[in-house]
Amino acid sequence: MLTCDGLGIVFGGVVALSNVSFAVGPGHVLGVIGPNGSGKSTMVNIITGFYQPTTGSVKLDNIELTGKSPEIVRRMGIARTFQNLRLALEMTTLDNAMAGLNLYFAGDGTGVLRMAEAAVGMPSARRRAAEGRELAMEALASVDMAHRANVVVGSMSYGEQKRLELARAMALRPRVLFLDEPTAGLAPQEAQELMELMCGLARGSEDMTLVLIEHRLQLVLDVSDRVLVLDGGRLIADDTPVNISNNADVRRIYVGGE
Amino acid sequence: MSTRAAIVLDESPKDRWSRERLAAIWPLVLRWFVPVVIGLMFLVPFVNDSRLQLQVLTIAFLNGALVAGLALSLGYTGVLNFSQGTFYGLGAYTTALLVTDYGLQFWLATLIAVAVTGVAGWLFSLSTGRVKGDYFALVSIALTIAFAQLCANLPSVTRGREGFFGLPEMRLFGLSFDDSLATYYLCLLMFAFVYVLMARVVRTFYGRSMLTVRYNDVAARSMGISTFTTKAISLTIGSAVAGLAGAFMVGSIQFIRPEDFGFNPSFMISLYVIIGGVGSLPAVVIVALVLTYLQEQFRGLGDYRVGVLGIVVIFAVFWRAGVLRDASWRLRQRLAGRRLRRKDAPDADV
Repeated sequence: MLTCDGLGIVFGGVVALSNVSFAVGPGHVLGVIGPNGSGKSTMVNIITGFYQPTTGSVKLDNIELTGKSPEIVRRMGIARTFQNLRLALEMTTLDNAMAGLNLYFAGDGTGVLRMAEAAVGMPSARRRAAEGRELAMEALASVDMAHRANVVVGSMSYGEQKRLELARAMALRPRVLFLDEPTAGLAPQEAQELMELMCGLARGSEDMTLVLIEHRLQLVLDVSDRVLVLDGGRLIADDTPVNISNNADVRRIYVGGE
Repeated sequence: MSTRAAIVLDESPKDRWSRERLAAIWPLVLRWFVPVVIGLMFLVPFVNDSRLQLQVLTIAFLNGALVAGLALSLGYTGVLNFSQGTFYGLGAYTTALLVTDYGLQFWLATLIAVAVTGVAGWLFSLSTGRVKGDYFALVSIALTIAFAQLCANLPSVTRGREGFFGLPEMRLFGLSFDDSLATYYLCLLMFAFVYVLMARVVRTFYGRSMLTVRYNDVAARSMGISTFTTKAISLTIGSAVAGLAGAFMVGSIQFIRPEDFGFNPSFMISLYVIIGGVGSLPAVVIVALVLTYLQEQFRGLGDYRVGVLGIVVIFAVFWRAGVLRDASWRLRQRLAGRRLRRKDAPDADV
């Protein structure tokens, strides 16, 4: 259960987010919508540790995450993707996916000892490397990218890169996965397919929460169990997709006027 | 992009076959090329054992080890570190001091030098927490200049501008550094050890973490990779390697001065990594070996060597940016187009 309570942040006098509270449990798909500058990405950046909130707190199963660094937040089980792709373009698909398994390889500490073990070629390190490769291949297979494992990322299409980024974020089975504008830049058909893929993955696993930050209203309404609407840094609605699509405020924001 | 896609579409089955063959063979080449070169180097003294030749190659091995260490931070992790020469110097001065003033055995002095430079590299890495990107380059350049100045102006410890010379005889594994053949093999062994170690480090998951940090440190952090730790480790290992090379430099050259570790020599080491390219340990090592060898071989050319190196850098950068490939493609396209026009001119409707 991810719980946000009274989250707010101020950038040099500009209130980017104020008093946002919500809670979401495992097995759910939560949609977050709102126009440009409404604070969607700011909210993700606060929850994943990239920004420090001015007010409020973030908890995962009653473990305090507020003010923790992104590395620690990821260790706690919250993963994310980014609006713009952030892949290592000269590495292969498999290597990118395996980079997402860093915590698996490094273990609890800094990973220095594990690195030394691997460099010397200890049997335990070899076994872990082989298992990690399997996990990465499974993650790639789940987004239908296993056949592209040895291709250099820079030579793949945008849609494939998007799917790879999803696989990389999912490789370690996070408990909460934030997808920041996953369909941005995709054709409607591709966007639809990616969306169905993601929600299938989230619903297939009992213990994962998927949070979708999206621009395309209809896509979010189609796949989410619940939808948050942000506007001007405030949470103006938290309801089921049906109610959201009938909500007057939401209509005003998206369609304009009455 | 579109031009490159066109090339792939036009590809004949034969070209496709050779491209796929190359893709299959290339990783093996990358993995075994340097080990094979090292193996061949063991045979060189049987072919040509002139003192000069052995000394030139010995310097190439020292540089090869330095570059292999620097490849972790500057090449893989993407820290703009221009200080490898400083840690090389720190290792050399530590060893020289321990061997002369304290009368330590060479192997013990070497171990201490490696420990000292490793710790110094770790301390240096602490600044990456606050100073990033280009600013870190400035810090590392400042460190390099400060170190050379310190060595030149602290005569009670470093012997000032004259430096260390007339060192006592140093031995390792029963071989004396006074013999140029023994020195050659000792330095070759050291270089082989460093290369194998670095190659194994970059093949572990840590190598991937380093590259991920280089490409995008925000994405790296979101995957639980600590950018700070990754940078610290790559700098620490690289510095310790520089310390090891520095110790062997004392053994093989037996004469150290502050200007050997100033900004220019340090920058040269970084240049080899830049020419060799990002994330390719074999390439940077080969570049270092070849360019060091050529520079030592053509000492007679004096400062012209620097000019030639400049041209090499320009070509390397053009090549990496794809400028040369695009230019040659356009040239071929133009030649083919001319031939096409001459032949098909009457029907051409373009």
